[in-house]
Amino acid sequence: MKTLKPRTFIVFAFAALSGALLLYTSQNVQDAQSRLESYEKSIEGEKEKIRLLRAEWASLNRPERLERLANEFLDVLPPAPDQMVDRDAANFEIQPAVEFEIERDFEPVLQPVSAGGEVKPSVAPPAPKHKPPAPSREFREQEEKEAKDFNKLIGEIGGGT
Amino acid sequence: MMAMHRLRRNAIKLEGERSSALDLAHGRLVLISAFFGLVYLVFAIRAFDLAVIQAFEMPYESEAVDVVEVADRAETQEVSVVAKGRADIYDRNGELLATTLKTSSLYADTHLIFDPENTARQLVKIFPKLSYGKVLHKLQSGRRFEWIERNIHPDKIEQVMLIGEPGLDFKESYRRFYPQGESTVHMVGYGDIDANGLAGIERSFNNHLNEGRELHLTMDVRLQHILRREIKRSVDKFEAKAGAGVIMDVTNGEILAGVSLPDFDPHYPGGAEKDEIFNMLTLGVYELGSVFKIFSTAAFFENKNVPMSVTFDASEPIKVGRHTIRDYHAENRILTAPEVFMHSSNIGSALMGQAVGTEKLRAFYKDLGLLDTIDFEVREVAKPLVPQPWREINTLTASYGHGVSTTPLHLAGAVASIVNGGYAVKPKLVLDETGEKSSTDVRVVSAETAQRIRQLLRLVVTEGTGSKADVKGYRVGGKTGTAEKIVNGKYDNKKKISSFVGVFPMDAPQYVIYIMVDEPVGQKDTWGYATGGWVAAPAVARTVSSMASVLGIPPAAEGSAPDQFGESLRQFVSTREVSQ
Repeated sequence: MKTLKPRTFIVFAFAALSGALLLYTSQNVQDAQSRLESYEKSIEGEKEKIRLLRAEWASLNRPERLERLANEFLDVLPPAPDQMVDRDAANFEIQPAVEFEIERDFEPVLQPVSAGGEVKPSVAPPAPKHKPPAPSREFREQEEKEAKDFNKLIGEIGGGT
Repeated sequence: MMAMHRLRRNAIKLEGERSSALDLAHGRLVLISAFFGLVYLVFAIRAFDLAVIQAFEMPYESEAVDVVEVADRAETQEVSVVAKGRADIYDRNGELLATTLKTSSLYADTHLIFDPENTARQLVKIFPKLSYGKVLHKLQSGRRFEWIERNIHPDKIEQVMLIGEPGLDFKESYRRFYPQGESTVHMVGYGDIDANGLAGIERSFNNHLNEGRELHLTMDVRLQHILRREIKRSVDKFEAKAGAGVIMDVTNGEILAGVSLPDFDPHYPGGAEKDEIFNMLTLGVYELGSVFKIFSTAAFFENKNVPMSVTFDASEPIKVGRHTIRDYHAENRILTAPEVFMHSSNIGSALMGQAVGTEKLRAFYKDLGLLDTIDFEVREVAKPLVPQPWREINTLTASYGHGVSTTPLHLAGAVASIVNGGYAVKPKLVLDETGEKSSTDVRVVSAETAQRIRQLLRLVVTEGTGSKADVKGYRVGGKTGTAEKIVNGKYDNKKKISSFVGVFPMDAPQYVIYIMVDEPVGQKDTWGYATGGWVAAPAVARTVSSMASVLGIPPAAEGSAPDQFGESLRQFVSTREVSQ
């Protein structure tokens, strides 16, 4: 074919190639944009979920609720004032360690400290019950009455209708 | 097309003039078919892209957004547009006090509902509270925007989507949520459906919050709970009408807890009673009674250069015009200043006030901020009731807390200003996050007077009317107050405001705790007494004891110097059995 010189083919091929490249690139951009949008949307959604979870966490950690649960399920009480000692002022007596053989000889790190006064043991804690405590009926009633289900509350607040 | 023409012309030129006509035609044919081939290829690729590649990636996007906007403009009165970015409020330790949450509401664009009957049936299944008839009616209304259900649960959104009607869509709105519930309502406040603050911090910092800027308050939710629990216990035990209280840091006026009972759930302000909405702490003005003796005594020692052993004749009631000033815990003898304070002698305090003089006492009360509206971050504050004109009798009664009505917050601030060493502090609720310790250099009393008042306050608890406020090792000091309420212009001795202002630790004051109970009724185990010493002092003791374990404050060892604080005043006290 005389009329179509190799140069022409090169030009056409080049045109076709750049067209294809252009299409490919624009498709990539579109694709990337839609992915970006969906990521942004899901980030927003996750943020909203985090907010909701934080609100729920705060709601579940109300001091009042924790106190109610602790009273029901734990055998511990807040320390009474006379059970507390000042860490700096208190003169703790460190019991001498049980003697044992040390092969190399170096200075023992812990030196028994002779205490000035006796440290009174605090009131013995009540022996722990070994079976998991079951909530009492009063507790359950109280819980039902007072602990408003978080989801229910979220559904209710605002009361648009 | 123009571009194509030019391209073709150029191509022909390229082939040169010598080409034969046949070659030319042939060349053109090839060119045109190549061009069409290319175009078909482009279309094929694009079709493949749309049908295969993007089909799996592009989520279905409805055009309903526009519909919502149209509907919004049409029915603005029904759609609540809440500032999405309204910022959170935290306590001093970063515990959440108020936040904004997204909720979804379901609406229908009835033009896009293809099977109203089936859709209505399915919707009623998901929302049992809706009635089939009503929903069907809405779906057939022909309107482009109909609310079906507001604030729906996240789980139900999916169920609604599974119906598969393109006409059902969700509109998101934002609601204010208060994790601490009623506990913090009087300080944090609450808002309307559009989350505009109506009370408390929510109101006074409305714009600040709407601009998306967070707030940290000086409150501590743990102490808030403790204070509320103990006031509630006293209110319940003494069958009282109401109660209020505050815990304040005496060094800078920061409010760690503020309670007004009864309170209400901030999520439903519409359902709250009037007395529940009323914030006694900042809005209630009361004649607070004997707790004011702290101020008259401070004024006395500040203005008169006298020793603690100074005496007052409290053997006879004072008569001024029609008024007679009597003692509630009458001793009927000559009392030293510490005795006046610990027995809460009205006569002795009136004599102190008289010695100070009207002008000076009034100026002193003004310096303490007791006569002016308090400058506070919560804007619902009341103006104190001050006698106009202020006569001499007002000076006498104001010395023991009658005739002048202030809010409980006024009182806590004034007590803090004296016991902290004499520097005026203002109550504040918003944490200064620059970290700078803000203390004023305005002195209201000298360090010496401050020290004397500290000793006197400790004496009230070790020897006097406030003994029930003592917590071993914590050097609690304080003053009781039992004031009769004015009913129809007369003092009613059946209706009292019983209060106690406590400070601890007395040798280096850190916290002031004020608790008042409105109209307590004497109980069997209190021998019918409902005075500040019986009602509020034990509540303060319980608060101190719980606070100590929460904040990890160690007690002073028995017999140590701090534990002996105030003992030196015993020499001025004649030993007798003390009634509560």
